[in-house]
Amino acid sequence: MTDTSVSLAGLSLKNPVMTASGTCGYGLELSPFLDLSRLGALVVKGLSVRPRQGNPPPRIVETCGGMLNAIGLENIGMEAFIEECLPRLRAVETNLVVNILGESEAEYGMLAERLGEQPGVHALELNVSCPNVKRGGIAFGSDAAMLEGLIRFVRARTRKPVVVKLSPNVTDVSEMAARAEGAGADAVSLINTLRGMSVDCETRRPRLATVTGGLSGPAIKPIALRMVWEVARRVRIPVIGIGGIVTAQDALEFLICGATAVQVGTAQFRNPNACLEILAGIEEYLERRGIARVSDLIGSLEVADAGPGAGSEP
Amino acid sequence: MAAKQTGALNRILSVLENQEVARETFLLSLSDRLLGAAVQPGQFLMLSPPAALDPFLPRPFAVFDAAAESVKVLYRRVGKGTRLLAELGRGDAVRVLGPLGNGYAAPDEGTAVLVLAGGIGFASVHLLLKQLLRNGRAVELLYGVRSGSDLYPLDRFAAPGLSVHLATEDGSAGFRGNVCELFQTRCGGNRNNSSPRRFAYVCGPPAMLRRAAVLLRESGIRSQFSLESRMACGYGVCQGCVVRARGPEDAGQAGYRKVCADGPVFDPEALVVESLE
Repeated sequence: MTDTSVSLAGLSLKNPVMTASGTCGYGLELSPFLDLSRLGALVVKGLSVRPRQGNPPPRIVETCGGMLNAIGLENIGMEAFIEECLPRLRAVETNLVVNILGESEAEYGMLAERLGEQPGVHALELNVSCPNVKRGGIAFGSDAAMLEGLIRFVRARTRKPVVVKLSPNVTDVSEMAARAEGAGADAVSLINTLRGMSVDCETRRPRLATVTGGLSGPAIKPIALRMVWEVARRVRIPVIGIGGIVTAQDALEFLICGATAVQVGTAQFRNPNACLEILAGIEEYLERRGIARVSDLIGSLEVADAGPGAGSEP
Repeated sequence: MAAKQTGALNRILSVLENQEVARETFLLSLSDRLLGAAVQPGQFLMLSPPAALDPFLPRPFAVFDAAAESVKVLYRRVGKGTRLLAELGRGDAVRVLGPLGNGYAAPDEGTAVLVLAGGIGFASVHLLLKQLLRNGRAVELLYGVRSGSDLYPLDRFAAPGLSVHLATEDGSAGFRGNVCELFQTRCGGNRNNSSPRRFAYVCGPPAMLRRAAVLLRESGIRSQFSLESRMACGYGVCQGCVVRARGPEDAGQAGYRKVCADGPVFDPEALVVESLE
């Protein structure tokens, strides 16, 4: 029997497969299809202090090998989550990671305190791709100093593990990861969506109501994989890999590049059982290769000495 | 929300048949033993070829028919996803998520039932028609398409109690015009106290739904509308398929409803139908 367990940020995960925030609602929407307790962790939709209605439609558009979304962070708000969802989620034997988002440090702080004190919430994941309205709408995660300040602010307000979900829409994601580590993050997860756009040439209008949106799905995997590899070489804290994971092979690539665990997102839209099928594929690979523990794979990429140009701009 | 999803399954089914039955219109039959007893008219399935990467996402299709050993969807070949679907042949695999969404509710007691179907919207009302007729209701069907060659062959679907009136925009069959214009001609815009109260079921393109909502309201006819929307998941998690909800007159924005999980069937008065595109 192979050992699929991993540990990160003080949590023990029975396996390295987690759901990605925004792709499984508040978790219970998946339960008609699979036994949630078989997941390494469940990461639920990002919560804000107050409920958010989200953006007007059209909110999604398909692209080649993926999709753009401009949902607008629609969510029921932290109080409704605590009252309506959390009691039922406590009955699920897996790690519950609550994703949080805000428009100011103060809001993140309130979320960290209120959700962090709830039994049954095992960790917090910070969505830092939100605009800081006090700083003219620059995303927290795209300014190193803002990111550090935010993480320190949250760190001081909760004892629960804090995972920082990094934005890829930056010049140097490994620098952001290093700053997050320095500010007290217990782990980083990457990548969030890439900013993109789609246009209808007949109507000459954008296909999303908000013009731009976030790209996800198989199309982004090469970028996500590269960023995970760069970040894993730069920080000591665990890295959670996200981006276009559809099959077990995809997940294994991320582990080999240095991820301790992976999150599966868009793939669940087509196949709600994607996480468990990926897990089964990982187990099959370990048995076939005679690898006793999945943790032996983490960061096992073999790179022959390719000279000073390796890993630079092509 | 959760209750509607408890019956949904995620399965790989096998194609029995995939035939072109009208212009660019296909009837896909899948081997299945479970949906016949479980599906409500108005519910839908999310279909995708299992290993496709482009397009990556499934597509929603109303359940056209469900029998002991098969389930059928009727679809138009309009884009990438349906082009891929149209190429499938006997024995090919299809991932099927469903049944999803709510179904059409029973018509109000003592009403005369009217069904308005536009274009491929007919796919959504077909099973409803069968059920109403089986339950002994008389039904008047107004079915409109662009041209006669787009019509689903209704000779496969004759039944006592069903009166059918066709509309084609080019006049090649039946009334020349669209379904809403046909409705105005037949049923008028006035509330007529001496004629039986009617109840309407409506499914068709957004322009038709916008117009029909106005006409039905003017005629005092209560109705159920089945909507379509771009969907990524179909089971309530992507939050992409929303439609604007209507709140009290003086309230602010009343938020959104998910077409997949709160619908696809709605009371049009609960929505901002004018916003449908």
